[in-house]
Amino acid sequence: MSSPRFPSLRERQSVFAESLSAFFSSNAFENRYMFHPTRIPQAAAETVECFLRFVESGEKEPVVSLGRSLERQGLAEKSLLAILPQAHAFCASALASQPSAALAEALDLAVSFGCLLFAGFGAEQREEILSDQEQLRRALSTAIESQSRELLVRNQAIATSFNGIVLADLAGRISYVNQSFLAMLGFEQAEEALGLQFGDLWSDEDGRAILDRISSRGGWRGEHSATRKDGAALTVLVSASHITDQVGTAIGIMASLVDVTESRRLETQMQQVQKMDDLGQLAGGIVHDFNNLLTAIGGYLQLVLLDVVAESHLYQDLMQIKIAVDRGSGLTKQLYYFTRQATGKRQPVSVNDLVQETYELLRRTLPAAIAIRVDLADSPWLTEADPNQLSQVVMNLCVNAREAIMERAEPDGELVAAGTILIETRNVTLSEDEAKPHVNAKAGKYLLLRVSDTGVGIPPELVKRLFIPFVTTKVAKRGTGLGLSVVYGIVSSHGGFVAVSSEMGRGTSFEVYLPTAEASAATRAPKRVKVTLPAGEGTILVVDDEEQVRQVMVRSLKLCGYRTLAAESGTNAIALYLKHPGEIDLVILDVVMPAMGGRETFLKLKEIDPAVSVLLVTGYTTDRIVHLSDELGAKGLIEKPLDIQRFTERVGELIMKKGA
Amino acid sequence: MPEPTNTPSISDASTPSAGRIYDYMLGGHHNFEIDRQAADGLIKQVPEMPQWVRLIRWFLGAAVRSMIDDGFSKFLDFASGLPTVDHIHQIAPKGTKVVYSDVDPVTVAYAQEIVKGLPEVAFVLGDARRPESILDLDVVKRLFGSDHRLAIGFNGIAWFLEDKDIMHALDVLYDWASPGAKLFICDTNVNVVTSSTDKIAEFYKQVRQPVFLRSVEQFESLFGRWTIQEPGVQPLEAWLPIDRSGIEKTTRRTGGNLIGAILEKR
Repeated sequence: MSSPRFPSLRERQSVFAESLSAFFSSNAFENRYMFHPTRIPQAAAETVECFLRFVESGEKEPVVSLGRSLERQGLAEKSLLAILPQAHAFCASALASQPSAALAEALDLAVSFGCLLFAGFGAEQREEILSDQEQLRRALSTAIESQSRELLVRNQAIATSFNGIVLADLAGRISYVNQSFLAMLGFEQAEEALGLQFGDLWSDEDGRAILDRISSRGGWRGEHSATRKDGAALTVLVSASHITDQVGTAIGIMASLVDVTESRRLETQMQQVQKMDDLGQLAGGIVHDFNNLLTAIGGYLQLVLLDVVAESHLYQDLMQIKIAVDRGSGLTKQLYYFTRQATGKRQPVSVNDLVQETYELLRRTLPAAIAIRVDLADSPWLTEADPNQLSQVVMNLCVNAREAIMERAEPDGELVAAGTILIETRNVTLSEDEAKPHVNAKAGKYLLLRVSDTGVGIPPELVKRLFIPFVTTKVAKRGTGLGLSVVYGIVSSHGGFVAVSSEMGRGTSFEVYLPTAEASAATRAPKRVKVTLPAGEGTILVVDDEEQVRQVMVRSLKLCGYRTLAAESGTNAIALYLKHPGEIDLVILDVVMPAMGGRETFLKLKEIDPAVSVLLVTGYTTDRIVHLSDELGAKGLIEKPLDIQRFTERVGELIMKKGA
Repeated sequence: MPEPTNTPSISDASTPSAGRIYDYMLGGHHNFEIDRQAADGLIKQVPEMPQWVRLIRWFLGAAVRSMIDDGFSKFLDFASGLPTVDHIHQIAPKGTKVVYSDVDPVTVAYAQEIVKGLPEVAFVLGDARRPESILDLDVVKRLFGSDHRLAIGFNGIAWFLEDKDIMHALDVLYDWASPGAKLFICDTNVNVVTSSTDKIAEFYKQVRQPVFLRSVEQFESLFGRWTIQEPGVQPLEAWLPIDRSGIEKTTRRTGGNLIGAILEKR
């Protein structure tokens, strides 16, 4: 092994390493972050070792490699550049006693070392920068691709939003609208809307001031009126706000639009239906109480009339009272229809037949100046209905039509002009969309009854209240204000609905939609013939909390020859029934009583005597009560106000059945 | 490098990014002119910033080396940034299991490229504020198994997080870790950094990255059940073999601006 060319450099290697390490350390913060300070002594030692080997062997490659390594480790350029003067100083010091040629050679080698080191460092640095930049480029490319996808999704979200979307500049000039907006406002192309003022879309004052509201509050949410391109009115829920940049400066306006026209209309209809339900319940209570009163008055009156000579003045006076009671009963009956609880006997009915009957009647009674025409469906679908109630519907609508024409025709009390009532029937099938505008309506087959007139028309503000009891378009002297309420109640209780269209000065059209039935139409029952009170035998227990009603029943039954017992409550009725075991042939039982009601009384009677015969009496027949009658096994159900004739006949039938 | 969720991704070149500014101050090349201009503006006002960011990174190196000396062979690191030179898996001996995490998807994507082919190293997407989402990952379970006596890096991120987030994260990690586990964490020290704090806070506000600067006492109050290991909360330079005169020479203010601690679950 040959001896080192510069042994004195080797001998002082550690001195150079320590010196270089101290320098690196004092400049530690100049290095890049990855050059951890703990590695400084090692890096200095490697550098010195590399320098000495280069001086000894002249081999260049390890020096270049070291330069590359130092760059990768993160050594600062300042530290790298300091290596050459440090090596110079080290050689000068270590070779001070050597011949000047040796020192010169060592200094030259130190310069070469520095150059090679820097070449390696620079080459590595260039490659690293290129590599990092390439990495950054790929990151950017990925990010741009990702952002493009996100942007596309966001754009599509706006473009395909179910809500109408509008973008505008801060001055309100529309710069973008989506497809839903075009469909909502009736535009065919975006160009028709672009450039318009956002505030000009709205026909209400608040809407036109929307830009001010957005500016003052940063956003706005409210309902505004708009007009479609085809002239149709819209109610639109508008949510508008500023679009802001990254630092919060407003750069535009974005608005989201929801067409709430239909939902608001349905809400109004629902409220109307709810109101009618509430009124129906209220009317039901009144009907119940009034029927009890009228039963008492009418019943006593009928009893008195039996004892009074028909030719007397007293008889005539009493008949006037009877007429008033009958009118009161009629009024109560109409109100009862409005409660929608009127059940009646349902059967397949041809509305054409009912219309024809009404037509015949009206044709003879209407003023000559009013024409009445019918246009009936060839093969009308049947509807499951109480024919008497449906007749009432047809009649009420026609009477209403007549009044509308009369009102128009005789402003000063004299008939000066003519009008026409048209009654039509049609078979119609409603789709889901066609049924949707009508609350409670379902898609399906309906028999349509339309009654139109050429009368005065109904003011729009009145149309919403048309079916409320005692609301009338007519002057007070005509009608009760119950006609249309009755129509509403009967049609609703039959599962149908009524639509109204009216134009002031042109006339009104009522459309009644009745659900169809499958079976064939039955013929209407003949009218009853009046007979005298029937005689009978047996013991009857009368149970009713209303003293007057109870007494009417007791007295009329006694007139027929029955023995009667009377109880004003369920509890007393039970006591009487127990007191007279096996004697009572029939119990006449009021359904609605305080404390122990009709149902409970009935059940207790059945416990005592499972074969007990009970005839229920009610002033307010509902489906529930009919169901109760069936459920308990009552012999029948009769309604107040009582017709004494029919009441005693029914009792006689039941007594005879029991005897048989 | 820390990259909280509400800041732009490091690949969004349209605005200065806190992450890329950090990279520039560390001497990296993953930055744009817009970031360099912003960073230079900050350095002009707070000249010691480049030194601070180096101290933070070197604290990581010192803590990792110390834990390797203590025999740790599993590392879980939060807000890792790109795992280039002198990160955990490069410092630790071969076979050491390392899971890095970062909240920026692009950083994660490129970091995964860097550690590809290293079966003991994983890089996952996750928010340091919600470590539970990371702890539940299959790769974490696969690499660490059920023995959670490991070293946890929560470095260089505390000032970007609210107290409640740090307390939640340290609490979750405490419950998850096994006794003997250690966690290294660093923060600012407003007791020393006074005149610069407003400038730093204002700067980060401009780049949409709020910062939360704390005193030593506030810092210690975040540790919850973790025990502070000796020598306690120390200036970052105290963890490094750096001549103090070197720091004084390169920074206008002396050390103590940044503080760090190693915590232990006992």
